[in-house]
Amino acid sequence: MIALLIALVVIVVLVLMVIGAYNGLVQLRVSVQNAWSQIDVQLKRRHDLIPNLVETAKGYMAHERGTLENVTKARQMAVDATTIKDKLAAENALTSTLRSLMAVSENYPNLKADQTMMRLQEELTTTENKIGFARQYYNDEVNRLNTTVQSFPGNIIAGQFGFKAADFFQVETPEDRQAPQVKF
Amino acid sequence: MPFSFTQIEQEKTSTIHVSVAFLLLFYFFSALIIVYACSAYFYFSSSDVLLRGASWPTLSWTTIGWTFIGAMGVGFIHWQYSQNALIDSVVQMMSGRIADPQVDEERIFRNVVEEATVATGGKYRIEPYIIPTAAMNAFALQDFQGRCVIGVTEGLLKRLNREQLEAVIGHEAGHIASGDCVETTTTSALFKTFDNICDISLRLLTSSTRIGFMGVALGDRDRRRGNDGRLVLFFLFLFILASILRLIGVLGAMFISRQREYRADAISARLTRNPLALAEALHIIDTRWKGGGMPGETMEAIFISNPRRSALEGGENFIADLFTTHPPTEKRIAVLLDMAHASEKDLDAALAKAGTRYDTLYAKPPEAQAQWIARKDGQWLGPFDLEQMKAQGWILPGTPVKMMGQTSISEARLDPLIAPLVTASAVGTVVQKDQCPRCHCPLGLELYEGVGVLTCTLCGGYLIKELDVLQIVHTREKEFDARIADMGQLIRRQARVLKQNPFDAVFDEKSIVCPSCLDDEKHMHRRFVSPQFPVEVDKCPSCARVWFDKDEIEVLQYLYEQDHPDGAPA
Repeated sequence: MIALLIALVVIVVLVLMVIGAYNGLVQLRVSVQNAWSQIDVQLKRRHDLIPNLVETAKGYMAHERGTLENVTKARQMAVDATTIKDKLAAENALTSTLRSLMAVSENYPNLKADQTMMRLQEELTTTENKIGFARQYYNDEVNRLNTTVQSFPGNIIAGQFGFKAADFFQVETPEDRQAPQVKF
Repeated sequence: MPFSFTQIEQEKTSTIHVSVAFLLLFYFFSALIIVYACSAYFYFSSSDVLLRGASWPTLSWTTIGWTFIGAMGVGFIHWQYSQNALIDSVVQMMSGRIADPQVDEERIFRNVVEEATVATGGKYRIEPYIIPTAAMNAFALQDFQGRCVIGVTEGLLKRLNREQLEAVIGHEAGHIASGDCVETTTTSALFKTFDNICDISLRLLTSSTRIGFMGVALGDRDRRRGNDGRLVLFFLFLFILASILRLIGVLGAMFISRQREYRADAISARLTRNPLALAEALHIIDTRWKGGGMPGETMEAIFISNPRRSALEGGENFIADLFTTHPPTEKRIAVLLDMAHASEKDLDAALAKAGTRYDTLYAKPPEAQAQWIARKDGQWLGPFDLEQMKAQGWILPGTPVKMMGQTSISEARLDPLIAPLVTASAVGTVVQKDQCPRCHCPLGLELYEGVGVLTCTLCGGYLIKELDVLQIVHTREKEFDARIADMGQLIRRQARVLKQNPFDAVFDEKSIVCPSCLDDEKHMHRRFVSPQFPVEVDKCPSCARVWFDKDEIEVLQYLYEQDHPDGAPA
């Protein structure tokens, strides 16, 4: 009788643990999706900004047709990308073409002084920053999910219910800023 | 130190419970004392007191229970009252308004705040507020409903560049995410009630005493009867009680550890990846008027830098830690610079971008050919050798410099080889005695609109005799550029605000050592030139010399000339 009771208690506890772990995983997955949608919003914003930017720049930098076309092309690729992996690659490419456009525009003082351009540049700066911060947040959430999915006992439950580790949003450009180490 | 915002959130601090518990206990015990005093009064004033002998009355448990319920009720009302439209009332007190997207600088500010919102995963909707004052400060508020506000002053927006602004907002966002804000906002609001009671009772006290005395003087029996001192006593009692509680509220700063400022700085550095920008911003804020005398300075804990300069602030001992809310700015800057050298890869990247040979970073050059890179407007320039450094002309004592081959970044005045260079080189005529109070270098003699003044070529400050200031504002030789005009307009608006609350214009705090007296005991006093011209200066009471930081004398001239366009002396 006592043995039966103990077995019952153990089973109940186990079931509760599984339910808890499952719910935890669901929550993590949702928050990763949520974090990704935040990045998506900002990426869309950047896509919307670029045609305006190119249009304004065209008037001033007639000799840089190639650079401008690259930006437009990279944007189209990024808009067309469907899977997350493709998107990451396309967005990274877009970032680097935009960087070179900005670098080139340094040589055109008239362009830099243009009121519309200044506004667009500020919008672009803030969007780039937001993408950066959203990426940071997304990666933090992915980190949490992956840690849970890969460590015991989460890995067993994740395997049973088909939870997979998510991809990090990695940046390929080397000059991207490094996080400073914090000391007290 | 947690790594992500998610983790920072999980480690929220909550000393708020302590202060709420304290208040509830306080209400309970004071209610108990009042009930006991009343029952004792009736006990001893009843006729059969002699029969009972000299024993003290006791309270029944039921009475204590009722007292408890009553005290909790009062506590609850107090809580509701103080939390009601909390943020609105604080913002209103400082006459803040939502940042206007039509104005360029304010739109940038809105963008930066949105960036901070994104960084927290969109958990907090932060509202950007502008405080229309020339002072330099920033603050964050959060209430229990989760509404967040980050506010900056107009003076701050005008003087910081985007990077520095990002760093400041990062600091404030750090306070919000780590839960510091909910705590300071609500705690301050709770004790603010006593502040109000204190003010009101003091006002009633003075007016009731006046009426009482008038009654006596006029021999008016009716009036005298109405104010036979009981009313005065009551208000006096109320005043003392509220004062004690206010004092306790101030001591509540004890719970508000300075550590949290360091932590918010660290969060900002991690967020923006740019600890140097925050160091620069703190340096700029610290050498300017931070809003002492401004309404809202009583809530000092919410600001990035304490609006009031306190003598204790500079200290790093136990007492200073106990009674101040902010660590010394120099210490904060040092910590930030320390963080910066951990991120040396950025440095490499930045230099590579700027087309500088950065392979030399690792090869340590011999002592004689030591080279440095220095930071100007958010960019690293260099490397320069000692001679080239001297020739640059823009390197100030506070400029971050880094010796090639070494990892640490320091301020130029702290680097043993650069220091003599920045403090002596740029000055023409050297006056030995007078030292720039900001840069600690000798001041040079200069003819300014026909008046001999001492100036620091590094920071652009002026030391002028008080009488000469009058002559300078009356002479009109100089033309002013748009920047000075812009600052002038800001100060003008400030003057209009001060006109409505003249008491806010009176602030007077010990500041720098007088460069002329050079006596540690003789401090200059920081104050406005006048309520009409709220330009902040440092004045020496003993030698009547005035220290103007960069631009301040120009702004004063601009304002004066605007007021007297025909050139007639006032």
